Amino acid sequence: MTMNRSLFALSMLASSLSFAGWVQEGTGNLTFDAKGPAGFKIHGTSEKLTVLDDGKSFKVAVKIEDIDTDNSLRNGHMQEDMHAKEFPTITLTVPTSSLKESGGPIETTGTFEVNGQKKDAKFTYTPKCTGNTCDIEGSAPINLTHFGIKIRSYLGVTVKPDIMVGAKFKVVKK
Amino acid sequence: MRSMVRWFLLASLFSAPAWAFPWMVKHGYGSCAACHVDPSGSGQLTQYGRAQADVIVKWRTQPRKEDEEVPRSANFLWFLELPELLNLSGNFRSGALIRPGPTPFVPLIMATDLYATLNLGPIVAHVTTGLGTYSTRAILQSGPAAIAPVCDPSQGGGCSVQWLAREFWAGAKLADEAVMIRAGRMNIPFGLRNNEHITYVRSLTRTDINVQQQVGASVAYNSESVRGEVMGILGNYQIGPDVYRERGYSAFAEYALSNSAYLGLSSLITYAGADLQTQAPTVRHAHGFFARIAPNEKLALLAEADFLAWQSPQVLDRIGFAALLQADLDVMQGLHVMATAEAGHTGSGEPGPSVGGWLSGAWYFLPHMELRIDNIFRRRSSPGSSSFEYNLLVQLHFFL
Repeated sequence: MTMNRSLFALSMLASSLSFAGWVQEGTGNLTFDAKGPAGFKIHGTSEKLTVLDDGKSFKVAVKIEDIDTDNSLRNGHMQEDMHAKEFPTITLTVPTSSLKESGGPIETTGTFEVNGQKKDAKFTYTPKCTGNTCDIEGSAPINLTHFGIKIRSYLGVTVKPDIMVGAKFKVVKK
Repeated sequence: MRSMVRWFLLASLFSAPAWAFPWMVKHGYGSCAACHVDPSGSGQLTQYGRAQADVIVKWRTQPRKEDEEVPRSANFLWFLELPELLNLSGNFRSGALIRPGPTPFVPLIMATDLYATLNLGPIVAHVTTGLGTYSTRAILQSGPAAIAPVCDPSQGGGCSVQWLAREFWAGAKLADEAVMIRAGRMNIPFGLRNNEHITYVRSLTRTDINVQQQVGASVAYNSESVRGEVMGILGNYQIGPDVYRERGYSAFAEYALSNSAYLGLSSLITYAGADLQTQAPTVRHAHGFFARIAPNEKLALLAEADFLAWQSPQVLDRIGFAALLQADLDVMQGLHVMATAEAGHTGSGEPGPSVGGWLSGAWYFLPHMELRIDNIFRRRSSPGSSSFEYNLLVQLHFFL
């Protein structure tokens, strides 16, 4: 009986270890805001942001083709300029151990991968946790030229390379 | 001849010279400067604006493919790609007015303008030219120098055709195009820059884009959160003698509360030695707010309310107001339904405000082309009386 209890306790521990980490709940949301000349601005969104925690790192990803700027021509140009066929996904990877579950806005550093190039950059996030569930909202300024992206000038309008990226999602601790 | 004169009278009342789309806020365009030569919007499109007219405004039954480039038909004359230096266009609008009464069907020629803009680096020069109407009464009142690009039948007299230049100005873009300094004849910066120039907010403030341009100098500013323009008004040199010219300022500033909500303030004060309507020395005030809100990508709500005052020097003669609320719904891309409510009061002893309701549709059925229908219901209030009127306005509009 005692042995059975010990085996059960061990199996529970193993089980909890194997599932340690965060799992995304629902759909995540990404936004980006870019500026151009004379008050020109672009607001892009994606409702298909994904979050993956492998226990070591926390990875937030979005496919470029899922980002919509409410303008099909602009979407097409964005995909071409960001080489979406070769590098379809933008990711932010952060060591799970560096993340906090309370406080905010918290500034930390993560690795952005855009256009196949990785760069460390600062971002801020605010976790709002209740029990095992956390709503995370974060943002980061990114300069696209740092990732080797050259933005086209289209009919006299050139978007500036400094953009603001925002993300919002819910995760549950398993 | 009498019927021809009547046409011109009505044409001048109902003409709408250009595209001006404050509802573009629903597509994330809070600033107008990327798409229009005028930094505060309306009128000639830039090359970028032409492309967006095809991508966002033109009617489509199938979603646009993301790898689909802008067709050649977006260019000048539907095919001609111009160098960045030179921007040419034209604006033509004609239609018919249908209403109960002795002349139930009246054909209209509303705008026949040609546009030219030179882009010499930061320097921009813009001119429009075309045909319009003038009032013989204005000539009788103001002498042979009078050229009034509007002919108001309520003023009496006849109308004829004339050459007119609504806009001619030169300017410079500074600070990464955020600032534009201009001088010349241009639209008055005030309130919503909407097409419907007979709405009370445009006609009572005298700030429409049809015939109310004035000579002056202005500074326009456009950033992602704030846009605005201040204009010093030197007068309308297409009327004379000088005593009729209004001088003063007009300005607006608009703040982006979010990507889809904008709130603006406007102010105008002018002085004329003789007001064109009352002939009395008049200081004219108009001060108000306007808003553009897009609850979603299909709907835009536009609102404006202005306080009006007219004073002889030192004496407040009249106060009034003008207000407008418009909802613009994309039934599908290129097919819009608009509902408008408006009111206006001139403080001239009317029993109450004039009120109006518009039910309109606009179909951008081919590149550069628009078919528009307006059902205009109005109860006009004037001293001692009020009357109800209905007009069905059908317009075919295209630009080159």
